[in-house]
Amino acid sequence: MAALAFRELSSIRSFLALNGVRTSWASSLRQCHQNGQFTPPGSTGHNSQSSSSDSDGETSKNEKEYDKNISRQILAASLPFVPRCGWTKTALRAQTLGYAGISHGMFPQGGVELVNYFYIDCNERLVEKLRQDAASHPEGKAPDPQIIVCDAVEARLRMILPYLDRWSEAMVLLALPRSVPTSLANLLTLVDDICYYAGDRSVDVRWYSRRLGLATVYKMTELYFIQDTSEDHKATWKFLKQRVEEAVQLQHILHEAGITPKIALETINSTFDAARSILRLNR
Amino acid sequence: MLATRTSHNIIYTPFSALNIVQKRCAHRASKDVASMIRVNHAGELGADRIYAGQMAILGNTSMGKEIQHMWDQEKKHKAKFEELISKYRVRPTAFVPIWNVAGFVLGAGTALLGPKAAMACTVAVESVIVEHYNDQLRTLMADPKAHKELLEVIQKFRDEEQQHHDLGLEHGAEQAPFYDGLTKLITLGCKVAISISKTV
Repeated sequence: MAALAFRELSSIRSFLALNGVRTSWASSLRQCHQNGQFTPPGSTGHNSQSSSSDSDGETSKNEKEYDKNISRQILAASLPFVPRCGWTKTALRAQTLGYAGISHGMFPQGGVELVNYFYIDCNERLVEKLRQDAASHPEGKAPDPQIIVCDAVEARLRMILPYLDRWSEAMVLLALPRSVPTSLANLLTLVDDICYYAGDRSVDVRWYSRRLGLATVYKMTELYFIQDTSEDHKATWKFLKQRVEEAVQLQHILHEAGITPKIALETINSTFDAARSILRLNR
Repeated sequence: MLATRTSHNIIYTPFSALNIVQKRCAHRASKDVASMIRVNHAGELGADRIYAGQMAILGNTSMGKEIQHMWDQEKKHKAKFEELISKYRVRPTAFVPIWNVAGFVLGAGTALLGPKAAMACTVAVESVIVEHYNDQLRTLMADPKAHKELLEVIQKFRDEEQQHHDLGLEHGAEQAPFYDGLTKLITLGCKVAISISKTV
């Protein structure tokens, strides 16, 4: 019964939270936990005493998970305030989930964490979209990789639109030395996903060159995008198309000129051929 | 922070942001498995190049047939790991061109010292690889059902590498010049290469 009641409560709670209504569920729920009234769904009959007999490692893991979920919710609820307050602690403080005004203390790095959350969330949405697109095409009839890449980058940049006025600030935050490792990892995850769904299955140096190339194109287009004033950002999409075409051409040239490991091998082969001839090992 | 002792009760909230971590794992291999596939691919690539180097020197001698047979098997191994890299979305090692060249130089270099030195090189390399595969199998055996395909692939390849190792010994690897020194040097080189490929 308690589990059912809890589920009811949590669905109501998320409904209220999503509607941005300030509620007092958080504090009341925490009080209930202290009293040990609720048990986790699926483990009926266990009370708070038995859960305290769990191994310490598991408990701390659950607590970490819990903290993570809470911080995600706070970040998600703070996003609507970004256009007004920017990527700042003010936006984190403005969220209406009902947590205490000091909850932004959970984010010691401040606004960057909000940017990163938004970035990852957009990446996830893009992956979902790419996966659906890939599934909707029958086997062997996927569109040209170039088109998939252009569409994916366009879709990803369009996700920034609601926060376009504030996006330059976010780019600055992402470029700060201390946030570079995270933002670079997120960018590389993004281009890795795009390359994968565009059908790249290379297992050599091209794996790196393609991803780095696409990351460069993405970053350039992003910069163009935030300054673009044309209708529906048509100039950006034209710019993007040209950059992708250039990148593909560059790769072709590099490939045809043979600046690949193969050439190195052939050079070594011929060197050995020469050495063998000199040493009279040719038989 | 906000957590209480029974805090995990609250995880069951239908909130879209909560399953980000799960989704990420669903379409990429875990870090350990990725590292395994990456290092194995690098290893098979190196082995492929070693046999290519040996064939370039010894292709026309009486040993040619044996080496060709082992080379063909290594090619299959390499193809299999290339397939796994794509399937599990693993980043290939950044040192591909270096292993490419290094493998070839090692193979051709030892072959230049004579067929027996070439076999000594095979024995040294394969013994490291067998040991390495055994280590991985031990790790994977902790949960045999989780990575069944990988487990079977590695088991099969381990056995074939062991055959190469035995074949090398049959062909007089131990009579090679500087056998001890050569073996130690190659073993060390392989181990360094393995530890680099695991991460880079």
